[in-house]
Amino acid sequence: MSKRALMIGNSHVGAYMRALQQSDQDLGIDLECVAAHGDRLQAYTIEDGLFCGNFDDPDGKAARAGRKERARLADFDAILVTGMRFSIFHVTQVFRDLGVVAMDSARDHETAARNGMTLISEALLRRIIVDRLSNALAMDVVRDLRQATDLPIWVMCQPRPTRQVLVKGTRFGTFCSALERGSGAFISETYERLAHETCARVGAHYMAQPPETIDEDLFTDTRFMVGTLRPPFWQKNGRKVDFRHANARYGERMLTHLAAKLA
Amino acid sequence: MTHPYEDIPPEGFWRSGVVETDRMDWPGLHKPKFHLTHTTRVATAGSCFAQHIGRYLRLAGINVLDGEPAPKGMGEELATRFGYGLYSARYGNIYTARQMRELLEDAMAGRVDKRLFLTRKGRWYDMLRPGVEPTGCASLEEAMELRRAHLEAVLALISSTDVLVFTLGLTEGWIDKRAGKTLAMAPGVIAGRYRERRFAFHNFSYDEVLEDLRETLRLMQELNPNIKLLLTVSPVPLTATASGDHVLSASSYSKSVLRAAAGDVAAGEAAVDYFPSYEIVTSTAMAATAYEANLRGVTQEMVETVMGVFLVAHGLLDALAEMEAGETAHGARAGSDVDLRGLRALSGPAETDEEDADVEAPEDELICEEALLEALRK
Repeated sequence: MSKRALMIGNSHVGAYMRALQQSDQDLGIDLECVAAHGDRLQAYTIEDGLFCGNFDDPDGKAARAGRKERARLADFDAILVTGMRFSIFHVTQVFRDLGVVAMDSARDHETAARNGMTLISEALLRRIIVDRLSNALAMDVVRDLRQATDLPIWVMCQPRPTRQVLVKGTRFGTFCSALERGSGAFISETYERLAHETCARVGAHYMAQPPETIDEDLFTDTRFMVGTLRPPFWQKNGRKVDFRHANARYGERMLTHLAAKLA
Repeated sequence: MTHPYEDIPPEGFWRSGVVETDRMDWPGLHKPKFHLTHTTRVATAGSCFAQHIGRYLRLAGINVLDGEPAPKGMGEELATRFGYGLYSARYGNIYTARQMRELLEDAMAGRVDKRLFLTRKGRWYDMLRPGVEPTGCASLEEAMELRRAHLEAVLALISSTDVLVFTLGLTEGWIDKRAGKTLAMAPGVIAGRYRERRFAFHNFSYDEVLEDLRETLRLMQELNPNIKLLLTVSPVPLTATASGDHVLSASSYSKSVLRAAAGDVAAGEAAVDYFPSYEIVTSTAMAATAYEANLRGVTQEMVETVMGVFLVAHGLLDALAEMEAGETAHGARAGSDVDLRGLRALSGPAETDEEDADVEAPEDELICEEALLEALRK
């Protein structure tokens, strides 16, 4: 029998909704969704067991896409949270200026300085990253949900970007420098470990990005991203490209893993 | 002249200089040898009272250097906990003149001694600044590399500083006999374990403090010939003494030695000045209002008074008042109430700006490892 889950998030819920629409197989999960683009869920409220997104939907776009504005928590077996600034993007930024001795690019103070990095302790790095992740809107939602319900809460990993972030025009300096310095594996491992830890601290589980979807530590294999187009997107050679949002194939993998956990 | 006291100015007499004077401004108390301006590059170091000095100098718009700034986007609370922004580098509290001297010697020699890193619960601590990594380091290698980076930052800082404001805190220290270095804290308080054969208590004498201050100046001038040293003595009494004396006597000894040595170095060196923060706070005239309930922490009002005297003496409060709201600047004169209100407007409880909120922190909220000793009392 399928589990009923409430998914709360932003544009990253798309991968999961499409997975359910497009999959040939029973994923073992039924989803209802309260979501709004970007940070528009920040006015959410939880009162009397009712999660309310409190976002404007004047043209009914959200409703047409199957997204609700409110949901009663007691109607579900689990709550899923995704996006809302809980992502590797915010972690990778830290490594633009900072390094620790466990990284080859900052193995000693001279190497760190040559690479334009300030050497800090692993303890401080951990605190900085945990602070960043903890301050994500997703974690505000999780903390408040934890107060309101005993249901299991799963934070579903927002996918890493595609390699598109290395290309001029959509270039993210932080990802480029991480790749140049060979710190991708370290950043990826650090992100996964601290994402688990941050979620555990607020009584939630973290569903990591499936290894088969990851391309060289920092990126998502394009096969799991192609076919999506959600704002914000970039223009490249006259074509719109989306390097942040996963497709139904990614959503299906994640939901399959989740269903196994919930079974 | 019929007697030598005839031409002495009012501040030379107790009644006019103390009893009847304006004890907010203390006119004539501090006559700077060299003046700070808003472009003077100032560095701060010393015992925890020096955190007040650095903070108020920043508030007054002084160019207080930060040789090891907190990483971008790091919250202030976390930064403070890891020793950022307390002083001009992440050296933590430097309580004794010997520590300052040895810091400079190590920085100039690029010397990091692995014997000065001790463990607690599997974590490594730099015993020369144990408070800046409150949970310690993952490995000895990490702790040593961080110290190497710190020493380079200290070198760069001293090389680019015009005036180092150094606040002397204690004469009592703990020496690692094997390494021959003065620790920031007694072994066993933050990390390591006290062993008599290895560690020795030492109460620095007047001669030793004098020599350490002179050597500190010499080393700084080797790096930066034009640098100046502004000495102060912390008015915060000792938390505890290992001397065997009553803590009141021990505190008096410490402060007396530091005060005398600082004064004598200042008297003998053109590049050294002394600012009497210690005298202002500990004056019998201020006894009722100077300290918090624990009789150690200096009240915010008293810190404001101290810094008001300092800024007025350097002509910085006038400039500050002009920089600030026009209504404050009107008629502002050195030493006037208007000037001091200008400072308080930046720092007082009425302010709601979050950036200023830390100014309201009482002494107990300073980062002061020495206070840990109180927790060890039986």
